[in-house]
Amino acid sequence: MKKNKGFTLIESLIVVGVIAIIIPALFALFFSHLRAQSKVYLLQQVKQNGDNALNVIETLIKENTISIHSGSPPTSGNQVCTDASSTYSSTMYFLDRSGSYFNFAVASNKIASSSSVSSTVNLTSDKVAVTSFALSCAQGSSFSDPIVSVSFTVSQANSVNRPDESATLQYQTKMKLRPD
Amino acid sequence: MKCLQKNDGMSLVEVLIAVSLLSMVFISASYATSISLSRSKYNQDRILATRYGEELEEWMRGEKESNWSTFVARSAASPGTTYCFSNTTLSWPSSGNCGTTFGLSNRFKREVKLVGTGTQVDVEITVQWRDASRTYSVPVDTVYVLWD
Repeated sequence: MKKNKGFTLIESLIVVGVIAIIIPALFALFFSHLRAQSKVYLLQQVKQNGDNALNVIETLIKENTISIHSGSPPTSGNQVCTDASSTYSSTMYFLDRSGSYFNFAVASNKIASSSSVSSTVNLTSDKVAVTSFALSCAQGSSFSDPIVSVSFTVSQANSVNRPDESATLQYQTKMKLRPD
Repeated sequence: MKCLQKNDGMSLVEVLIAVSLLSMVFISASYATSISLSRSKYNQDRILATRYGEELEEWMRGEKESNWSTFVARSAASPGTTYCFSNTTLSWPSSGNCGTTFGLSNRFKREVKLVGTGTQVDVEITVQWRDASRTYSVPVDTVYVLWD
């Protein structure tokens, strides 16, 4: 009977107390890790979508456009940015070499690329929201080609509760048309 | 009585083994978590730094497209001219490097070195940030040439 001791109440209380300190610390570490991961994931998505949209817009405008128009269908009457010091910053239609035209616009927080020959394509996904999308064109001097500037802001689509978790990136670039 | 005598709880050695096994598991788990926590912080900073670098590269291309002569005037023959772009809104600062100030979003340092005169300018953009006394950097290098 003397040997039958096991743990006393005090001993088991100490063990439970130590575990009660360690487990919350571990969980806190784990959850801060999860939060950091989700932030990286959001940022990655925002950057991926923004890079893709900028790339597509830049390539289409730089490689295909021969002139910029303020209305559709493009005619010589509604061509803009044709002479020195003329600027334009509203809805634009880009005429390409084959005679068809395309434009970019923001619809329900996505950049949509529509063209006269194919259906509308979204350049960004549902996961991100695009705001302050702006296109403008200008011509430096009489004999140079027009320069198109594009700028937009990409952020994650769903609003987050914590302000430090929001991922927002700004995009802007300028490109010179190569009509010939 | 003989049966009860055997029922003597755990020995010290058994308890030691159990505790050391448990603590090894806990320590390795928390170590792995904290390592991956710092990696994801690094990833996040790297994504932002790359974006800042590319943003400046695109803005520089715009400057080059809109007026080559004013652009090339900001460059110089080797070793070139250094500029510090520490604002999120881009505009030409006066020449000079950032020194030790990490002013961009209070975390990053964005410097650009323009080398070359005439019809070609080499652009070397470096975005740096500090994390726990270590300095990381992302380079973005490009060359702008006057075509026409």
